Amino acid sequence: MIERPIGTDLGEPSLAESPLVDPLVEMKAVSKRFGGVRAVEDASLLLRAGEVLALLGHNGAGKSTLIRMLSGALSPDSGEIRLSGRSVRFGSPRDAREHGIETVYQDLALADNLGAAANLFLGRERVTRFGALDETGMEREAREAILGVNPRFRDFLSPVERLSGGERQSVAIARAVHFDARVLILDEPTASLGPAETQNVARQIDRLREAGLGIVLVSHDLEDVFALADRVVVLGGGRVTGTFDTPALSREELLAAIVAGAVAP
Amino acid sequence: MLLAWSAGIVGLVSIMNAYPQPKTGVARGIPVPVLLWIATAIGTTALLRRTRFGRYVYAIGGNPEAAALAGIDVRRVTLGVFAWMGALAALGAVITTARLGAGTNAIGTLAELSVIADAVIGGTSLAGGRGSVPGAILGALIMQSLENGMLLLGVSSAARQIAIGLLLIAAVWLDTATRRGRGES
Repeated sequence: MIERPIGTDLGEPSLAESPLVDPLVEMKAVSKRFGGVRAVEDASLLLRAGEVLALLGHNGAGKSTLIRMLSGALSPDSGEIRLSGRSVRFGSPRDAREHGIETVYQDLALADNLGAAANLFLGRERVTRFGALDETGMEREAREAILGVNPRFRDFLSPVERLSGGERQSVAIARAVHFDARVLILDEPTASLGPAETQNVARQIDRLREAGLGIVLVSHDLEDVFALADRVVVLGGGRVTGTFDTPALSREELLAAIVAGAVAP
Repeated sequence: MLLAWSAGIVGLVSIMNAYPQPKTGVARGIPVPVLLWIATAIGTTALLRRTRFGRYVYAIGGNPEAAALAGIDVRRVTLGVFAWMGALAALGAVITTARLGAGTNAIGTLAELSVIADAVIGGTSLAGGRGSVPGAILGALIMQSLENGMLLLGVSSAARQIAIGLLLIAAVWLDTATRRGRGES
């Protein structure tokens, strides 16, 4: 992973309007319709390097549609996505990955029958001069990458279906950040984890923020949001109904915003 | 490891050469279909275990959505698998035609059933993502030994079919049961 300067002091609420910090990702007025359903309408958001942005909203508020447009799984009907100031278009998740946008899906998207190293390098396998898979090289690198995420990880050889939920998560996160990610999208990263494993994921998120990644966190868990996020974007009915800085935010305000989003037209 | 392999190869060659032609006394040697079989088995194993393509085949078998999200062109790899299968079937057809000295359009009809049975008994998962060439060879060996043994015992054709069907059911049941044990749905 490449060290990147941490360009932001995250305690400042006025930062959202600060022109000094270049936004890493800017989604401008993006919309997406499925037939007659407006899944996302005119939504805009900003993500800076070294920032955790939480995305909240009731079910069907457009969170996953918005995320999938950023990760390249969907392309917006209108609007623009800018990455480091340059307009980008993603035809596939692969395009987004080439631009440094990595996603950890809620179901982790691991090939359960393969080992940790094979999953880490899935789609990006190293090959030797003769075109054969460089198994030893990939395993050595995978060991390093996964231990960097989770120092207690042990089983590098078994198929990942034999691993615990937290270990599988470690593999998925290591895969997302190992190839010089700049933006990391985490879709419900703690939904299926126990308290200890949730703690570990929280530590990992903090560490990645320190390293200067921009992180988008989709979560239902308000505790997680308050513990991890610097800013919160609340969605309702496909629109952005509010943006808050977490230090200055009370639980009541946030809940009110989510409920208001739920009844918004 | 290397020693075991060389011993195996020397053993096979000497066994194959131990049978002389009745008229000339010249050793019969290794039949070409056996050589083709060895080459195919080694080639396909290498393809599956040592190349990106093989890795993708296993990944798609395990979780096609994850493979697609990882940037693997699932349709292309699937096409490649079918192409390889077609090539192997063609090789089988060439051998069969050569052995019979004649060809008919009905040769090999229903052979796919025994091929699938061999693979499943050899550990290939019907749900995908699991299996190997040596396993399939072992499965074929078991099935053919059984078939041949029953034939020599004079078991009727109907009873043979039933026995093999039961074995196939047992193999599929074992596959599903162990998969459930591993925590898959």
